[in-house]
Amino acid sequence: MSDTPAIVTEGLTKHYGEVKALEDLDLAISQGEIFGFLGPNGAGKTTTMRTILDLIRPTSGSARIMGLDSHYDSVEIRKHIGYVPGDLALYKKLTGRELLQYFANLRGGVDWTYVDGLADRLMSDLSRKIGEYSSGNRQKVGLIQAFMNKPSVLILDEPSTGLDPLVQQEFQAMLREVAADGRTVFLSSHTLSEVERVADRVAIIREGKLVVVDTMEALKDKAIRTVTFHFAAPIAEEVFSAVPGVRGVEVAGSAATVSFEGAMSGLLRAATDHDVVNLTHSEADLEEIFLAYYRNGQPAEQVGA
Amino acid sequence: MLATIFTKSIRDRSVAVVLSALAVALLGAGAVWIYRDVGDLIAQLVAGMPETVVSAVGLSGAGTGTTFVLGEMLNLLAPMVLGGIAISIGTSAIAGEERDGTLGLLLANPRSRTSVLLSKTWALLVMSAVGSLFLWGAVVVAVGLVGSEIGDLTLGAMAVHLMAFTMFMGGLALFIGAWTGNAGVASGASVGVLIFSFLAAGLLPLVNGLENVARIFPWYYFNSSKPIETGIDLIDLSVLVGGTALLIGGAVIGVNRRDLRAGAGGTLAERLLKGHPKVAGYVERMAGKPMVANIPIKTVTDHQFAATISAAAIFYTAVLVGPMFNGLSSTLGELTSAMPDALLRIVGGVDMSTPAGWYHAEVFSLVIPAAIGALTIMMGSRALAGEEDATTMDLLLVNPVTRSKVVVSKFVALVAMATLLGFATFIGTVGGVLLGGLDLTIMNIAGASFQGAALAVLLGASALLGGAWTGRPKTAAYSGIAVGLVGFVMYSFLPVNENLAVWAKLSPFYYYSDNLPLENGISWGYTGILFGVSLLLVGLASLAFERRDIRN
Repeated sequence: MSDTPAIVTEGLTKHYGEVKALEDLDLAISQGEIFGFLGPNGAGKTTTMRTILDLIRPTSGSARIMGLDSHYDSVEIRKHIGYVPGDLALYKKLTGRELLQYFANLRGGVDWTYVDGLADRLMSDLSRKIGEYSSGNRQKVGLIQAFMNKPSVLILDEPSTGLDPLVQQEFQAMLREVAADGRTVFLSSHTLSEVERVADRVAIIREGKLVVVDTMEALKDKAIRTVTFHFAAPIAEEVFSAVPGVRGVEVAGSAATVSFEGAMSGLLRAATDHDVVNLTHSEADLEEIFLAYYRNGQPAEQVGA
Repeated sequence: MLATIFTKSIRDRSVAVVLSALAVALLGAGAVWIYRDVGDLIAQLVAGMPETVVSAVGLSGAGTGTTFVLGEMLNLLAPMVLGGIAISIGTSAIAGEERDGTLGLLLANPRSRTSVLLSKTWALLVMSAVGSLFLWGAVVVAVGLVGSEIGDLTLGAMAVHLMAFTMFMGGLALFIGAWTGNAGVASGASVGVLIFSFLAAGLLPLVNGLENVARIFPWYYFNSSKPIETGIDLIDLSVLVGGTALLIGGAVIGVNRRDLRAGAGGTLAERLLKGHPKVAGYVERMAGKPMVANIPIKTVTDHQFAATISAAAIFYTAVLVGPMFNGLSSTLGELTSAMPDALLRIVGGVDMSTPAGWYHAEVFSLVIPAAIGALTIMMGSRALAGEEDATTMDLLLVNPVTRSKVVVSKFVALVAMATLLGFATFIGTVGGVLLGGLDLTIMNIAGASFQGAALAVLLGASALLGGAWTGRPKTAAYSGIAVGLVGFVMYSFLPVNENLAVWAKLSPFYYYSDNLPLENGISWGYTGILFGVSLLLVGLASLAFERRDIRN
C-alpha cells in the first residue's frame, strides 16, 4: 500500500446557478480506510461523489483518485473504481448476469468465480430479468457490479437502500474485507449504525460545507454523553454544575442525570465525594453525534484529523 | 372527473400541442407562399385526373392553388403530427404512469381506476380539440400573413375531422396501454396503425377487389370524404367518434381487470402470450436475446423488436408496390407527360410511368425515410438522453470508457441498424420488382436503399446531437423530427419556385433523392455528403457531451 491518498479533494466547489451545492470541500481519504460520509438529504453528498467521478464538473477546485486527476485521467481512474449510485437504475431488459457481463466486458479482468461468490453471499438470483426484481434485489446486483472487479476504491452512495438486515450484515462484512485487503471505501449512508459499525473515520457535511472530519473514537469523545448517579440520599444540583465539561444536570430526589463532554475523571471525583449506590452510563452513538452537529449553533465548525 | 388529474394532464402537454399545431400551420403557409405562382395550374390539372390516380399519388385534388397546397399539407402533416401527440398522451395516461412507477402512488389516493382513467381521457379529448381548433385558427392567420386567401376551403370541417381522428388515435393508445400496461407496446402499435392506415388508405383503393378494405383503417374516415373541400361527413365522423367511445369503454374495462405493473410483474396480455408458447416464441424471437459484448452490440439488440417490425413493414410495402405498377402504368404515363415539373415535384419529381419513378413515388420518397428515420431518431434520442433519463448513464460512464467513445459507439449502432433496414428495403424492392416483372437494376435498387439508410443515419445523428446537447430525450427526438420534416418540406416545395430552388440543397432529402438513384444508380458524392454531415453532427455531439454535467 503506497502513501498516496485514495481520494483527495481540494477546494471542491459546485454551484448550480445561485445554488451552492458544494463549497470549498477539502477531504483526504487514505488507502485501506472505510470513510463514512454523513449529511441530511440535499447536503451535497451525492454531488461530491458525482464530481469526484467526473460525472459532473466542479465550478472550482479539483479531486484526485489514487493520485490521478479526476477529470484528465478519468478513464485510467475508472479501471480502479467501483460505484453504486444513490438512485440506482439498471437496464430492465437484461438479466442480472447479462448486466454484469456487459460491465465486465467494458472493464475487463473480472473473475466469474468471484462474481458467483458475491451473488451467493448476497443471496442474489442473477438469472432473472432486472425489470422483475424487487428494489432490494436490484440493489444487490448494483453492489455486485461495484465489487466484481475488486476495485482499489469503492464509492458507494447509500448502498444499503432496500437491503434486508441479513444481507446488510453480509455487506458490512464485505466492506471490512475490502479494507483489510488495503482497498478503500468511501461510503455515504443514512444508516448511521452501519457507518458506526464499519467506518474508521466520518465526515459530516451540511449545506454543501464540511462540518467535521474525525475518527469514530474522537467524535465519541467529543460528543455529549449522559451519566445517571443514584445516591444513598438526596443530592444537590450544585455538586455537578461547576465540574468542567458538564453541560447540564437534572436532579430527581437521590438521582442525578448529568450531561457532559470530555474526560469523566472530574465528574467521578465530584460524585464519589458522596455515597454512590449505582450509576448508569449511556455510550454516545453516532446518531447523537450526528444530531448534535445539526442542532442550532452546535458545534462550531471544526475539521480535524 | 378529478380536476387535479385533468389539469395536470393538460398542463403536461399543452405546450407541445400548441407548438406542433403552430408549426404545421406555418409550414402550410410557407408552402402556400412558395406555390403562389404555380398553384392554380396544378390544381386545374389535378382536378382533371381520375380518382384512382389522385389517390395513388397522394394528392387532394382541391380547387385553387392555395387550397390545393394547403390540402396537401394539412391532409398529411396535421394528422401525422397531432395524431402522434394524441398517441403520446394516450400512452402516458395509464401505461406511461405504470412505466414510471407513479400509477401506484396515484391510485393510493381514494380514487377509483375508472375515475383516474376518465380524467386523463377528458384531458386527451380536450387536447385533441384544442390542437385541431388552434391549427385551424393558426392556418387562417398564417395564410393571411403571406398574402393569400383560404377561398372555398372548409377548414373548419377539416379541423372537426382532424379532431375526431386524433381522438381516435389517442383512444387507441389509451386502450392498448390500459390492457397491457406496456407503454412501448401502446405507442408502437398505435404509431404503426397511424402510418399503416395512411398507406393503406392511399394504396388499397388502387387494387381491384380491395377498395373496401381501406374502410377498416381510421385514416379512411379522416379524409376519404375530402372534408377540406366538401365539408363534414357525418357518417365518417360518427365512425371515428363511435370508435373512440368504444376504445375508451374498452380501456375502462382493461384497466380494471388486470394487476398494475410496478416496473415488474405480468399483465393480462403478457399472461395470455405466455399461455400460448407459439405466440410467445415468436415475440421472443422478434425481441431477440440481449447481447452485451460491447456498447454498439447491446444498443442494436436493445432495438431489435422495433427494428424487426420496421423491417417487416418496409419489406411488405416494397414487395406489394411492385405488382401494382402493371395495372396503372398506362394511365400514369399519359398523365405524367401532361404534368408540369411543379406537380411532379410533389410526388417526388419523378415520372411515375416508369418502374423507377413508381417505386420512388410510392416507397422511396416518403415511406423509407419515415420508416428507417423513425427508428434511427428513436435510437439517437435514447442513445445518450434516454440513458440519462433512465439514470443508467452514471453506471455506464464509471466504466473505463471516454464519453466520446460512448457517443461514437452509439452512433455505430445507429449506422448498423440503418444499414440493416436499408437491406430490408433492398430485399423487399427486389422481391416486388421480380413479382411485377419490372425493369429495375439490382445495383440501382441497392444504391437507392443505401442512400435511404444514409439519410436515416443523418436524421438519427441529429437526434443524437440534440440529446448530447441537452440530455433530454424529448428534445433529442424533436431535433431529429424537425430536421426530417423541415428537410422534407424544403425539398418537396422549394424547387417549384425558381428563386428559392437553390435553398433545397440545404435539405438532406436533396442528397437522398435528387439524383434519382433508382434510375441513375447511387451518387457516392451525395451519399458522402450525408455521411459527412452525420459525422460532423456526431463530432459536435461528442464535444457537447464531453463538456456538460450528466443529468441524474
